[in-house]
Amino acid sequence: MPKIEKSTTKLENGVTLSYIKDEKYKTNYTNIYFSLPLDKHSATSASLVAKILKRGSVKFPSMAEINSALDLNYATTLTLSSGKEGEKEVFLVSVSTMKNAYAINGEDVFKTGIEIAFDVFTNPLTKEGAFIEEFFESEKKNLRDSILSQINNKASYSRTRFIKNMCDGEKYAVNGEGDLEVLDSLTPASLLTFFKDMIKTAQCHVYFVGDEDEDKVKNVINSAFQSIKRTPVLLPEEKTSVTPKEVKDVTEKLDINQGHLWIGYRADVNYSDEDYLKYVMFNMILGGDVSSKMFMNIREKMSLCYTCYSMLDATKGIFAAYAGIAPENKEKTLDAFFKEVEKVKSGEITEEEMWDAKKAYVNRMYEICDNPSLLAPWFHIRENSPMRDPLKDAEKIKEVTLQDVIDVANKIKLDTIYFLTSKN
Amino acid sequence: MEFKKRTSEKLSESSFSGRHESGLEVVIIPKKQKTVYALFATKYGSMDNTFKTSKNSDYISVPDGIAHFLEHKLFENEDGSDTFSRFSALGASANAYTSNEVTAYLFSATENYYENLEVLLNFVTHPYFTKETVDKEMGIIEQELKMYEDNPYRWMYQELLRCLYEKNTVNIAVGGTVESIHEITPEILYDCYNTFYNLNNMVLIVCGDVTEDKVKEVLDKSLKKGDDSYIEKKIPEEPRSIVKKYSEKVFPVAHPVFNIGLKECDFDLDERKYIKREFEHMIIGEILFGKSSDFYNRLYSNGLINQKFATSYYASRTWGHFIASGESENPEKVFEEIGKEIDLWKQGKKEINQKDFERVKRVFYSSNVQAWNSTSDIAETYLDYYISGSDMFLLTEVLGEITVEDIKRRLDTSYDTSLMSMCVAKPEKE
Repeated sequence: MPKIEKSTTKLENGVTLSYIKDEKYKTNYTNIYFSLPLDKHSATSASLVAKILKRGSVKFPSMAEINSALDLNYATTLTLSSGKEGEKEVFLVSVSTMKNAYAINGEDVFKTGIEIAFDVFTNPLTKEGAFIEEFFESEKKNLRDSILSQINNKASYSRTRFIKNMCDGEKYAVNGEGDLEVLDSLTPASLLTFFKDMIKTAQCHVYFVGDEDEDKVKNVINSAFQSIKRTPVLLPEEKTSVTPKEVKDVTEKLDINQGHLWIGYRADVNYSDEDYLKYVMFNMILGGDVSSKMFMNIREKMSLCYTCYSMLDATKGIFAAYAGIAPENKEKTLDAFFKEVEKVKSGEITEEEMWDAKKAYVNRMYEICDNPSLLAPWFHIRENSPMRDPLKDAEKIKEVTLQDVIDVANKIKLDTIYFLTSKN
Repeated sequence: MEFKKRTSEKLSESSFSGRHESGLEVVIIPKKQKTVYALFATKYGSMDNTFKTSKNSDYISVPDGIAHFLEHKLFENEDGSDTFSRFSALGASANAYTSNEVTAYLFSATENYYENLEVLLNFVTHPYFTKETVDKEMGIIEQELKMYEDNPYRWMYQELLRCLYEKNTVNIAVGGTVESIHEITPEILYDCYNTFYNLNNMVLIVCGDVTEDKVKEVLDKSLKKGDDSYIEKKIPEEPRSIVKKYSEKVFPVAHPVFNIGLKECDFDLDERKYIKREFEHMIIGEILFGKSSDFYNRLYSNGLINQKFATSYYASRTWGHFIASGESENPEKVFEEIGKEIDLWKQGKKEINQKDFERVKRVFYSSNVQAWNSTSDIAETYLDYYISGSDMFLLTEVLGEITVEDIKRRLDTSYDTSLMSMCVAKPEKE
């Protein structure tokens, strides 16, 4: 059986490094994750920091200079972003560099790429204990525009609204990109304080996937972190177990042609759970694949939609199903969906369905191993569940039985039905 | 059949290609990865709405969106089995896509490579349409089209093509319209299928850990010789002018978003010149408007554009356009600034310096190297160039040959600012 060569070590300065050797690609991937507690304030501040850092650093004082330096280093990609992972706020610095073997003049593309990235994200241009006013104001406007523009993509907007309604009052209801009121309250000085605090106290995990020597990666990362005296703070425990009191039924309207239906359940599961793969199988059978019951019946037989699927969010213990449908078909779709859920609950699942679902999942796990850019995010989201490994999961999923799927189907609790539909 | 090997030493990549006895063109790109990705494609897309074969005397015209409709319907089998499940059971996932010029069926597999290949060849070469199954598909495709109707970005691009092109059928939406798909019948589907799904008009690209011999074995077993008639497509001559300078539509968007297009007027290129033209446009996009340019940084600082601003170049044999897209409170001003910027460079008031030129070439060199990473990216990129009568293996070489003089010449020949249009999706006024 093939194996993923992954080794995790504690570096200096409270930094953890996971090194994954992978020779398949012509690219090296380095992802640096900072995890901190999720709330409106951290989500908004981290989003704004991600934008402002790309405006100028001490060594590269303008956006044009940062971009030129990256271009010259064989188009190094430096992406700063932030978002929520369960009840954690995650700030991500992602660096991808062309492998040294292809450098025309023998340059060390990897090392230079990491150096540029660290200068940009640890050494920003500041003035009198604050971010540069001009950069701050223009990025604040950009972030405001970006939050408001979430509405431009109806499917993802409907998902954000659905989660907001379902998890009302929980940390997870926070908009991952930020909150407009909090944004208004930030200042160039308060944001700099947040930023300095974040790189010092957040949990930091670096993933390297690629073809550089492990000791060299350790040295490059260690020396890059040299200037920051870090004292990481433990994260609070996340809440994945919630029991719904009553089923919420929410409808919102926009001037659109297609309706977006979400059906949300609480699923008391996380990545560390022994039952995790049973939930995965339940999802694959109900709507997680094109051979699933939802796809076969709601789309192929009943022609109610083009897009429909279900998903399991094990960072928060949510199972959800989605369908993009004609506005008048809400009830019809709900009926059809609940009928499929009933079938799973009562064990009306053929051997072929079990087999197809397992095979499809195994294929997905193997594909992830062939895509180094996906490996770091895959492991990071399962950071607290060290037993998870795509190839091991591909083996273990085979042990899940029909009874396991029935048990899980009977455990999940309906929480919210959300419909974003047309005004007429 | 015999395979011809070619190798790029620089990239340490190679391919094996040849024509199978059935008429099918076959390309194998070996990669030591667990994932095998295969594309079975026909040179047939939404553009091809008027055509005839050498056996017919008259051209026939078909409803818009038919290539895409066919793509959906081929997944249906006569015995009622589901194609997706056939792949799932063999540990693969299947999909398909339709563009202006191509319809492609694909699978991604991590085991049973040759069995999956057999299923792919089998389902695409065995059409089965009835009135009932065609009607059933209407509902699904209608929802797909409704989804696109709510997408401002999709509308802008589609509308831009209608603004830029008067006659060229690239201006037809890939999926057609709710009205046009209702004209589709099983008979029309069979007509189109029999014309374009002739193996002589198709290509198979397999990227991954497979051998020529075993692929050939599957081909021998699965394919019958294709019909030797040839296809004539009617592509009307396109005038050197645009249809409309500006178009807008109200959407539930937060701020106006825009697509600005500039129409290409340099065609008739061999396989190297085709790639050269594309790189020249991309280099111009980077030098004039890229994230390191004066233009970008000036407009960004003025708040006229944000980080979503980007340029791209889309082209094929009979059409081409350079696009600048983004979000702005004042798209008209951005349009004006782009026109002015192009003129400044054309008139030599701004000049390309060697340092910037080398930097930008390095960016594209690096992305060409890294285009050879995943089996899916390789197969899809290979198909793109193949369909346009060009060759992915030539990319790095052609890029290396481009000079500053070439860029100046490209600005002169292809950047006619009277051929610019803009489409804006804007929010409702409060």
